[in-house]
Amino acid sequence: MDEKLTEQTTPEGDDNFNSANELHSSLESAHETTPVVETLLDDEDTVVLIKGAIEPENVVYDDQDLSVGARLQQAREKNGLTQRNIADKLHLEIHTIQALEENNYDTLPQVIFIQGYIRSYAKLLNIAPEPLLKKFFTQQKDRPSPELSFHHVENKPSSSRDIWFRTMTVAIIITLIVLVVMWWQSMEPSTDQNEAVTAPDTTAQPVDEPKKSENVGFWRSVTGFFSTAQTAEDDTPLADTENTENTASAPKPETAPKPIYIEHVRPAPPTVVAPPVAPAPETNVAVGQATETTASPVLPSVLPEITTENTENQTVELSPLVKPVEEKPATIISDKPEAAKTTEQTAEQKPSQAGFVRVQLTANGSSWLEVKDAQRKRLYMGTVKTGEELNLEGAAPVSVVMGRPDVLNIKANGAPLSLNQFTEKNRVARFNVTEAGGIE
Amino acid sequence: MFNRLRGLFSTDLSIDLGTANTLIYAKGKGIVLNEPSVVAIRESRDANGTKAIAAVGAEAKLMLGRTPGHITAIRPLKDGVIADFTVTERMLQYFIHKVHANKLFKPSPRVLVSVPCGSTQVERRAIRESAAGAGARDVHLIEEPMAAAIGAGMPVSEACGSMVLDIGGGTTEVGVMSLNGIVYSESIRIGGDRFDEAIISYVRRHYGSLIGDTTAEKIKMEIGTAYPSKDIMEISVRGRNLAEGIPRSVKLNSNEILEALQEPLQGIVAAVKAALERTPPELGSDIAERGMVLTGGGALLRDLDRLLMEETGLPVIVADDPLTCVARGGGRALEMIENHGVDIFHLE
Repeated sequence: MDEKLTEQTTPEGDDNFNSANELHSSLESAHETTPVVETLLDDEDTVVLIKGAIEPENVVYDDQDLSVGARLQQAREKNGLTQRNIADKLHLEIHTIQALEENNYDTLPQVIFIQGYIRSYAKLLNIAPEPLLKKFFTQQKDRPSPELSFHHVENKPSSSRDIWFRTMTVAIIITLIVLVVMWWQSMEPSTDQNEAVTAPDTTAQPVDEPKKSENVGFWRSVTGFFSTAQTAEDDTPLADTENTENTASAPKPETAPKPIYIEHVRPAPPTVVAPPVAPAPETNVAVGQATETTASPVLPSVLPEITTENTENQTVELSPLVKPVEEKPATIISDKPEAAKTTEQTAEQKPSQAGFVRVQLTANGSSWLEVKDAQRKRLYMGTVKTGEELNLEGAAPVSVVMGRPDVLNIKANGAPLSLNQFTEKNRVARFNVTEAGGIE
Repeated sequence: MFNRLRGLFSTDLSIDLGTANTLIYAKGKGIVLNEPSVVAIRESRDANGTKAIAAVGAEAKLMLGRTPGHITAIRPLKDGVIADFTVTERMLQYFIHKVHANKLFKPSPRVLVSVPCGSTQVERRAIRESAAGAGARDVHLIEEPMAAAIGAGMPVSEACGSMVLDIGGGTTEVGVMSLNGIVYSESIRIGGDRFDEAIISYVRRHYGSLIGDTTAEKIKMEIGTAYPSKDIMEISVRGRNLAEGIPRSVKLNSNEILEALQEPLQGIVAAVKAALERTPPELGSDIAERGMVLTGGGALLRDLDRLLMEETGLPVIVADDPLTCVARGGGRALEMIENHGVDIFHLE
């Protein structure tokens, strides 16, 4: 303990103080009963002066003199008292007195009590308690203060609530982060889409498809940890231009039961498809209805062919399916310039299904655009750049919000729509494209 | 809303509104104010007789008993509770402003005031309202024994008994605490003031001389003792001789003061014994093992710990810096309330 004290003070360069301290205590023990010396020594400056007079080497001091316990023990023995006497007078247990004299504070209660015991003990022996207490607190610096443990205990009652609170906070923060990431990812694919749309190379491989199909779906795009089945499912309502090359294979999902659909169709995206919910038999009906109602006038004749073929072939043969589709273009894109890109053509060739509308957008300038289908599913969100063309299909009515209607040409099911009412006012255009291709 | 904004510019305070002294502990700053709870009021000479504060605190204490007709120096608290509501409010206002040096915003601190555990609901409400009237935006009350024990550094939150004896100016509080709560508490209206009164009446009875409160307090501080001791101290004071009507010098020694203080001291001892009697045995054994702690100004009375040790047979410890224990404890309590909510203590 005392060595520690010395080590502590020496590095501070306070040698004077240090030796003064030692001198102080040694003198004190020598002249306990002389109050004059006591008061003199209380003033540190005085001690330093005295030190100059008496060489420290001449003073014999025992290291033990510096310790509080030894000091008390010495004073007690000098007065001819036993530990038992002291314990009786202070009404303390004898082991407390022993611990005090051995500086063994671990077995004693909190600092406040130890300090009180030292004070009472010193008073009983007529020695000044302050220097001892000062020494005691210096020693206490080395050890964790019991007052801290007081705080620790203090924490306990509310700690459970704290943890609960903290967990909830962390959970909320994580949820927020996840949501932000999802949103971010849902934004990102829109650029993918742009690329896909601008460079829809005609040789698009079926294998590439899943990646491309990412463009639309929120969930789909987020994850990559959603199953491919789901991916395919989500794709179905969204007929996209980049998939047009694969129109041949596309019809398959219409009739095929889901597992088959996944198996075969996965490479080839569903361009003309029943909503994901429709199982095979129902699709047939739906298709039948479509033909009857001719809701989508472009394709009525194709659908029966496709469906029948599909049902017959069970989606195994791809090649036969291509034919009926390719036969179409003449009628469908009749209104289109010959120079129209193949993608566009193929897009138009695709049969639109009942309750669905296909929207084609051509940008002459860059404009912010958001397209949602009737199920509020986002078909596109982002900024289209000059020259970009989009082919989107979704359940009617499709709601469109565009920043600059003046730079966008829109066609519904191949028929151009007039946006004059919006361009005149020079404001954001919000409208719905109905199944029949009108604007609401 | 606006109060909360103002709160940003105020420091949370723990106030020990004592009969003799008011102490304010500011969070992070320690004891920032320690002044006597005395207010001097000047009455204007116009017809209305409007009153104005002439001095507060130490300055006012100097006037105590030495005022001309138009100034009255009063102690607005008596026996630990408010005796004069408006004056207490003004005094608190003065102290709170004094603590907040910046004058830009009117201070609106959160305040924890310690109250005697024996105070009634009416008395507590008076304290709460005078603190609110003095500008506090939020007033919590804590019972003095609890604050004193926390301030002394006793392990009040542990499941062991901690007994504290807080001898203030107006009241003496005995409390047994465990697990942040008060198991037993008792407040008796004996304190430093009663010691002074006992000395005054002793001097009058035995010497036929009348001394003032301030002189009595001086006697108590210098030679007052609670337990017989070998070395006898003497003091010479001046009082008005009742028979002659002339101030005369009186020489008193510590044994006489010990005799004078017997009555209030016996009252305190009785309260301690009653507390020990009513303490559950488990907690009683904790107290017997470690001892009880003395706080408050009364703890500075010489050999009071000795007296209690002999009377109860238990170890008795005087807290470090006993005068500020309650205020410091209140400050710690404020911090704990901040960290753990008001429920940590049984506060009002």
